[in-house]
Amino acid sequence: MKGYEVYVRGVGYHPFGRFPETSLKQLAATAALGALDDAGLRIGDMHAAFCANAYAGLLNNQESVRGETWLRGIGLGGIPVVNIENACASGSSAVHLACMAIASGNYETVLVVGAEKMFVGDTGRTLAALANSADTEVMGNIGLQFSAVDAIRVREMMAEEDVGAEAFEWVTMKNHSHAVSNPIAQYRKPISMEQVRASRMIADPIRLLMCSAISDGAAALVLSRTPGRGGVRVRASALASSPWRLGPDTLAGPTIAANKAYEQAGLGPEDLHLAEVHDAVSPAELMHYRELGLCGHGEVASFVAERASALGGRLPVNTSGGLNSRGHPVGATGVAQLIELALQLRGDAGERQVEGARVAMAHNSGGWVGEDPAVSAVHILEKTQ
Amino acid sequence: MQKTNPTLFYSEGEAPGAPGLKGSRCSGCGRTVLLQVAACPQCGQRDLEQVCIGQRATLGESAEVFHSADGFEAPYFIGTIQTAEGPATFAPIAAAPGTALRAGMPLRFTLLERPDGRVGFAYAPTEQSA
Repeated sequence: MKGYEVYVRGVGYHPFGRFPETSLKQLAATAALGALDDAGLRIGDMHAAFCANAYAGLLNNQESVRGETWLRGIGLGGIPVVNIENACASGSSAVHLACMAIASGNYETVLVVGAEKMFVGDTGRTLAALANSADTEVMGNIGLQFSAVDAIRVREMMAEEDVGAEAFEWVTMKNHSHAVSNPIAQYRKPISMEQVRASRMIADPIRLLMCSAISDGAAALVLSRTPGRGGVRVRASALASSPWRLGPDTLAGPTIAANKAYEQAGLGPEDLHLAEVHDAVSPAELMHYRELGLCGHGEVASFVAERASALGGRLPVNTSGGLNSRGHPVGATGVAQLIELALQLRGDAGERQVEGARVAMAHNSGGWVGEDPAVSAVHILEKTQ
Repeated sequence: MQKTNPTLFYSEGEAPGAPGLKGSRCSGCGRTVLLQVAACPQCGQRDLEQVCIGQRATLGESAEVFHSADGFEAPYFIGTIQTAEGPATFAPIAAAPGTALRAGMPLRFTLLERPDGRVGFAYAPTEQSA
């Protein structure tokens, strides 16, 4: 990444789950105060705030100035607040803008907050809000839910890789087992492959327990030119919009973002010690292995058979439990992925600690436009101390 | 007649070759893309002809969906389709529950009367499925 160095100075969160008595403001404030405390700083030390949320307009009756309303109650006033909406990648988009703001030299220490409140007493209303994260002129009114988008994408992978139901059940079980020791996670009970198999079909081959759940939650980071605990540095911050697929060589959106990130970092996938990837449905994790270069095309089945992506494997993926088990409060997700990476690199991940982790990647995608996610974000963090 | 996706498809008589999807053909490079766009994504030319495309298409991957949405009663099929002119998109596939669809099946555009009285669209296989 060009410009001044950017460090993760502090992390904070409100656990993900169902919190009917907790407002969106309270979720966001809890996470923000947690990040400030972790950084040993006060709100008055912040030079700007970047706030991510996707659906407060549709679900919480707060269309505009979301971040300003969240943070006023913790004493923020006078500094710039920028609100970011980029579907399921809103959180990582906010982190990206915050990194650019610090790297440019215009701001020294900033607060990033991602928050979402999706339980509003009407699941249909929440699902309808999620469906807005696409070009609604094209994808509205055709019966297309995101579970079906993912089912079709997974089927495209199945046509090229020797993976099927068993691999999908395993990756779901794996991520649930990872989430057990994650205090942020919505689901902290292990499940078996048989339980996954017995859950009802949503969009073939996606079953209910493979889907990330509706969730309330918030996540926050303090980013700064000054290192914090562990000296966790942002080595790459890359964002890509959906490409026009004008020829056979067009790369997928996540691959474009990953390649940019590898180039910025001067690293390759072989240098990673762990990764958080966007498993909005758990089988999509397998698809992302190859999109992000974690394994080659045609190698997904062997990567799974080797259990490479489980804790203890050569490249643990979604040690937090991923979207599937940690939960997916949309605006918070991309920020929460980076919290997991920072904790791992600091050596603070407890029972799910990846020993010796020094370099880690997060991939977060959002929405759908054309033939790809509307936005794909990839960050690479590195331990420098 | 009210359409579900008025910017996405033409019904009969709205354009030469209709019904079908709305597309744009670049007068500069000849590229055809979905929807009526303001500039060609390939060459940047702003002189684009509005055309009806996708009367014929090929099925990509598809999924049987078991949760009703948008007035589509589960189970139903949705898939990616590639139009004969090139552009690809998602579309409802008009096939009976349990049908064994396969990638590469030829499809034709069809208008679909929806439960709310509007007119939508789908793609129907033109050959018997396995």
